[in-house]
Amino acid sequence: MTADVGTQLRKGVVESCVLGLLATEPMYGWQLSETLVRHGMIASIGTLYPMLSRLRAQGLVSTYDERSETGPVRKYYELTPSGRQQLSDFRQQWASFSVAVDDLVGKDDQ
Amino acid sequence: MTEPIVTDYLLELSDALADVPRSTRVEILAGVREELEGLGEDEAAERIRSLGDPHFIAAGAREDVAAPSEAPEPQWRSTVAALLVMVGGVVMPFIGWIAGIALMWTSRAWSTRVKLLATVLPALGGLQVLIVTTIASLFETESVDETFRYPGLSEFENPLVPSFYDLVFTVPLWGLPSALVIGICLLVTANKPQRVTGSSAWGVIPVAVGSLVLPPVGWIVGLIFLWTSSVPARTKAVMTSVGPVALILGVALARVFTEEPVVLLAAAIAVPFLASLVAAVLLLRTPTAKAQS
Repeated sequence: MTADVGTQLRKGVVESCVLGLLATEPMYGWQLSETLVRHGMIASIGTLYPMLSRLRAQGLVSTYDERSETGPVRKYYELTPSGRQQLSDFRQQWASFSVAVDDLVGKDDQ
Repeated sequence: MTEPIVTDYLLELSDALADVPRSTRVEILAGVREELEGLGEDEAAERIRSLGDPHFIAAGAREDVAAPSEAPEPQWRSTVAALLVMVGGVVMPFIGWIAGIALMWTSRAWSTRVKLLATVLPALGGLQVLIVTTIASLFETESVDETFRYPGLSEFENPLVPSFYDLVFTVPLWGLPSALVIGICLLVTANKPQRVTGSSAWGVIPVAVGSLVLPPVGWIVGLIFLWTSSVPARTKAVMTSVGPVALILGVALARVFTEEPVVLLAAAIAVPFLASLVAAVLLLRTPTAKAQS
């Protein structure tokens, strides 16, 4: 149970990050995966899909198929109303939470 | 067209994901496939590089999925299910087989496609016999050689035998051997990565081919392939409806010209097949044509 600190932290917030990304626009798997990997939130696309199916099972995101201009049909993910609600709950709590953590852990250069 | 490096990568990924729960594996493969399909070789190679090693992807999936409850299924369950399907019907007619099928459906060792096929194939065999004998009885005053239109079904050369009688004999004659074969197939395929409908051809072509090779049951089997494949909903709808519509129109049109049963029967088989084939070719060509433009 001593996974590194980064992994522990990401676990709690990565799903909310997905909701946040989808709040701007519906996205397909690769888009999400690429953005999240770039930000260091997930290791690979392999972590993304179990998470997406969990979010879908919870009714927070839904999917639809759309043909892309290059040919393949892509599965797009979008927020449901309860996904939006969940995201706004998270945003509210996150602000005070991060302030509280900052206060408690202090800064390195002190 | 899908590049060979894409096919190789997907196969490698599928192998790496072998021990990941089926639903997750299917989603990951579909997600990666939709990203790599239609790309040129260089682009595909680039994207594959950024996707990373299949084993790395699989490790991520395993780590995440390990948390929720999906415990691995004991090996004996799938074996018992397959054995019951195989010989359960001999030990306890019907009940043994039904128990096997029920156990099979609760198991995660097979894909939905395999489960559906294993369940309906014996019944479809009976349906085929019923339909063929019904059609054959329509021909009973006609020349007998019409029945030769069904190669391999020469046991129904005498159309005067009532179809009910045929059916009673068909249950053990067809049911037991088919259950045996299906059970063996289940044993062999249990917990193996069953091909996750690679190309859309695997969903579309069986409908057309099935409607020609063994109408109408071949068509129904084709529909199972279609609906368990990953082709878009629109393709499924088109491929499902094109056969029946073509059948009705084809026979209606043929009747304008002739009442000859042989011609009508030929039309009833040929027209839906040709219509399905054309639809299949058109549906399969669309994405490639777009990718090239």
